[in-house]
Amino acid sequence: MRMTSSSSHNDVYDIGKQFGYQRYMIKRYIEIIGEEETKQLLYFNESEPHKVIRLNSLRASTSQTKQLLEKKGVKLEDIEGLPEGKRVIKSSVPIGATPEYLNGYYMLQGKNSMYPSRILNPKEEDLVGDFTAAPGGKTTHLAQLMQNKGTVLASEISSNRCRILRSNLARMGVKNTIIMNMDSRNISSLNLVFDKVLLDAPCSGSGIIIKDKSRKQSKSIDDIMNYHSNQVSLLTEAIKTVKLGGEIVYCTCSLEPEENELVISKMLEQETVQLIEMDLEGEPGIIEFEEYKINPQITKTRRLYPHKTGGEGFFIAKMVKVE
Amino acid sequence: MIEKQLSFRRASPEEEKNVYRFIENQFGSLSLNALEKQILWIREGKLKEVYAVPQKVSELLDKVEHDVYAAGTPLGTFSDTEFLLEIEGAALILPLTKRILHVKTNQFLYGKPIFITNIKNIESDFKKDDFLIITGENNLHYGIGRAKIDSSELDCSKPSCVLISEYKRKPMDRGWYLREEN
Repeated sequence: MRMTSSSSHNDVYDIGKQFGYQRYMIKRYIEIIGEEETKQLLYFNESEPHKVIRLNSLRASTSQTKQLLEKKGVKLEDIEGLPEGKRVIKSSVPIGATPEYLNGYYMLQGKNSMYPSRILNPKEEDLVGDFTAAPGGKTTHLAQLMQNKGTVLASEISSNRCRILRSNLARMGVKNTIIMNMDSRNISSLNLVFDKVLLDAPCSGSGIIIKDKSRKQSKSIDDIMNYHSNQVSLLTEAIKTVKLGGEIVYCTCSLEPEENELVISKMLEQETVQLIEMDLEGEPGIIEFEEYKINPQITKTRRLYPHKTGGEGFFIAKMVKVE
Repeated sequence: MIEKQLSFRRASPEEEKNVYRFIENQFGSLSLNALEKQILWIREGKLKEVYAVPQKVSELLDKVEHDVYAAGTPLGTFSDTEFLLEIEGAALILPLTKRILHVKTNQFLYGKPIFITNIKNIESDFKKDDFLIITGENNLHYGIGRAKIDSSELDCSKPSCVLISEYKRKPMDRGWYLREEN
């Protein structure tokens, strides 16, 4: 028997209800990726994928860390396009508590959250801004890509999160970073001109439900709009502080268009930045959502869906400052 | 309540001298090479935290002294005028000293003391109250501790005798990073 469209619809809503989602979330997932993929996304969020680690060349060579972990019964698998990323296929030890972990030989970091630092592609001599930086997965990755040369200025508004950031930077052997305990919306008051800026903006986290099930109930559309306005302020500030011709990578772990395409769209209206194409897995940013008509340039951004990439849900945009 | 703004400033010549003296006295003059091309900075607070900062980063710090939380490598802390090396300071010095204690168990990483029976080997003699850098399996760094007895007493002491006890003022073992996460 062929299923009718409305019964299929009900089916997806039923699955969403069964897994504890708010109805508005299912509605927008269906609009963005269709019913079939929404089902795949919902089931993926209930799965337990392999952990992923990033090997830290600031502390030890990749081969040395692999060898030490393999001796302990940890089986690692390469990740295409991410030479420092390894999937933990099997482990007979708690991977987040080994002496190697405590020595900063690796960091537990989701696969897709390794892309933003790589896409920013910082050089050894650069001054790089990393705004809203805690807990520091991307900051330590930037330092690693810069081989502890140049300078990273990492800002974080919460002093408690600064403490965690400091701890992660120390453990990973990062030397080239300054942690600023300040609101990243005021960075321009420092009168610095960055070569590159990474903004992993605070977001509603709908891309990481697999790790935080409470997100299914914890955020409303109003919350999403509040994140949107904060993200616009943060990105405006990031653009202000980067040099002409400098690059900015904006990302969130949210799937909500208001926190992603609509933020970038606002920036494009001001004509201070242009989007840059990225060689990256994922889907192009969407240009139609609800009543919004979004700038077609947005297709240069990337949406990384959990069920399609086997990692956290992410949105990534790369821009160059032109004015 | 307005939180007191902590200041982040360059170490004074006196403070620098205290840091260098401690490192040289405890770990030998070669160990000072770990601080080559590093500028010492101080974060004022309940304890004065000392950071080793590369030259280039230091130049930027000169421009942004307000709101700085940390920079470079956290080396150790001052309590009054006494400087004490901490976890990352010890890790910097590890390749440049023989004041190393190799242990057989991971217990130190959980904030537990090191007993004589836990010793795998020592690389040089030491006196009571000397600082020792502690390593474990595969020569991985475990932390830093203060000897409660002379190395000359090791053979005649009971195996259950404590060589390094947990330190009250600041965590000195790398397991602290795990405890800090929670």
